[in-house]
Amino acid sequence: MRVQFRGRDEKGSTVLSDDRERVAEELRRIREAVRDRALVERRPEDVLGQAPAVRVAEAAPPPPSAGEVAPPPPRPDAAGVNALWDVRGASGPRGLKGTLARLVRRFMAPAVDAQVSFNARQVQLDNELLAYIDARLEATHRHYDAVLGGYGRHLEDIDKRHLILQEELVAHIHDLVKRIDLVLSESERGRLSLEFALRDLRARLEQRPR
Amino acid sequence: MKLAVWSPLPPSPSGIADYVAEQLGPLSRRCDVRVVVEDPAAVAPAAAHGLPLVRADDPGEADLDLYHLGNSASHAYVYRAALARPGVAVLHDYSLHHLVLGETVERGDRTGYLDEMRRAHGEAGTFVGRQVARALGGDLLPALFPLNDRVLDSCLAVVGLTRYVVSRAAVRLRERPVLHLPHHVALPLHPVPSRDEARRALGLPAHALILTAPGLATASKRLDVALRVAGRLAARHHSLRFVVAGDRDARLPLVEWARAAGLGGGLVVTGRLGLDDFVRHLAAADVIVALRFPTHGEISGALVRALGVGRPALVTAGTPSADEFPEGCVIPVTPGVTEEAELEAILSRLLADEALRETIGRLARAHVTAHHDLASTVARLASFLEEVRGGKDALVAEVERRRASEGSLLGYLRDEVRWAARDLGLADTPPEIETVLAGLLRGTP
Repeated sequence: MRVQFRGRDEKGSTVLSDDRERVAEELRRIREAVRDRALVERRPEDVLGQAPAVRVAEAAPPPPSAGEVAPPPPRPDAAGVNALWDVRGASGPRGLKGTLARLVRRFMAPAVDAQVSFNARQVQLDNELLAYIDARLEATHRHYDAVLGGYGRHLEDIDKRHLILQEELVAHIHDLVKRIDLVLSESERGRLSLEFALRDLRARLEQRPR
Repeated sequence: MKLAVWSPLPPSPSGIADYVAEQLGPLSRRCDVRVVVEDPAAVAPAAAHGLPLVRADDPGEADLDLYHLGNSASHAYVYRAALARPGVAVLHDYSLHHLVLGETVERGDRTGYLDEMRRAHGEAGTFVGRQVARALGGDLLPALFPLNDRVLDSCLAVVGLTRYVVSRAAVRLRERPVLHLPHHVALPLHPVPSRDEARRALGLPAHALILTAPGLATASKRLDVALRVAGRLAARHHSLRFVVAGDRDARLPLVEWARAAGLGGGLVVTGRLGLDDFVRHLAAADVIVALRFPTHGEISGALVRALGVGRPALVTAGTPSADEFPEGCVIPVTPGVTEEAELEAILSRLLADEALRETIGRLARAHVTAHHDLASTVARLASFLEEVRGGKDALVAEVERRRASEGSLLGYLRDEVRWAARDLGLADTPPEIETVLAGLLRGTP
């Protein structure tokens, strides 16, 4: 290894001027006075600063209740079937045909009346069934809309909390990096200071008469 | 000797550009110099001293390449060339971490960065590299992991401006030459203006006490601490001004710091200065505040100029800025827990004692005049380059031997073993290790 230094050897071998010695000694006295009164123990927060407050999301409100399930509409009343729609008053043909028709109607009256009555009630029943189904479907939709809406709001709240968590995590990691850097810097600065003090001490020891 | 000097030149914002521009004139009287820059048209005409400027993509042949490497993106092309064409590396910073980071992660090549960290710093490098690549590395770790391995392996010789750089490079280079070249002092104003003249020219109050922090204000310059101390001292010295003579990192809340310190209007931030006004600010100062932590092994050109002007300068103890000068010529402030109290005590003493300030300034000027003179440092550099050129063939052969297995499995194994050796405290692995590793790869002992 061939290293050409300039300065250090000369520096070491050069007789220090009186002025420089006097200045160096004066500076040394100032440093030592500071060191003697320095409060080496420092509070962590004086060095590191206050830790940033942790942002916490408010407690999520419970998902809204889907509400009471509406009672199903009453079932169609079968008794009404018996309240027959009377069509027997319908007018028939006139003359001989009418006479014959009236005879036949009179003869067939029980069967015709029953059929007409049944038909009427069947129509009524059909209408009531349709109304029942409409009402039932509407109630079901209302119930599930409420359930899905509630969970949708709940998921939105979860997303919001995840976002806060992510931002907090990033902020704290960066804060942690700064703190680690600060701790490393403090130790490195301490090392440099101690090395400087040791070198100074060594130089002064060498100057003492043996 | 045909010498190709690779470096950005003014108006590049790199301080190294000014350093090289100052050196070119005297160097060209000893060597046949041409300067390799990225864009010759962008160079300020006066900076090149009439020397030929050539583009980095067509540098031509030279007897020797001189690479000025700093830890910033403006030196990326120099870094790439230094790896491709072995030459003499002038390490202005020991750590090239930010430069390599810019060449890899910031270009989307995260793997390349992790490979470099692994190669240079082993397992710890891999661990730290992952943090840094995610922008979670903080400010200190890049300074502790210099990432200059590839350059040190590729260069024929190293020139360091500080003992910090030279002592570390010498351990790595073993048989290759290393030169310690003190940072030269160059002052563009002849004669240097007196304090009163400089203040008049700059419009600064004639009777104020002025603390000046020269150069680009960055987080590493401890200005938060300095402003707190200045704020407390201003209570006793009402005329106190704190001048930041240079540009500033936009992320630094200088005004808020000054306000919180009670300094308020006592803070002056000049913005980027031309060299003449920069030197006037140094001359106008009563005390120079040139603290720095962490260090990348660099020495501040602004500090050397301030000492040349004859102003007392506060530097951080244990860093190259303190180690390059005897105590009494600079004023070291220990950077540990007592830093702020020590800074206050020393500044308090200096501000109260003009004679002491003048004495330290005189000592500083005498020292840099004797040891940092431009002509003699350039002469020393030129002699060193001649010496390297004389042994160039052997040095190139040594570099080629070291790089022969790069990119192969054998090279990978060698890198791993080399790191293990360093981890054990060895400087390097012996050359025969490659034979052993090659045998292992062939399946023979």
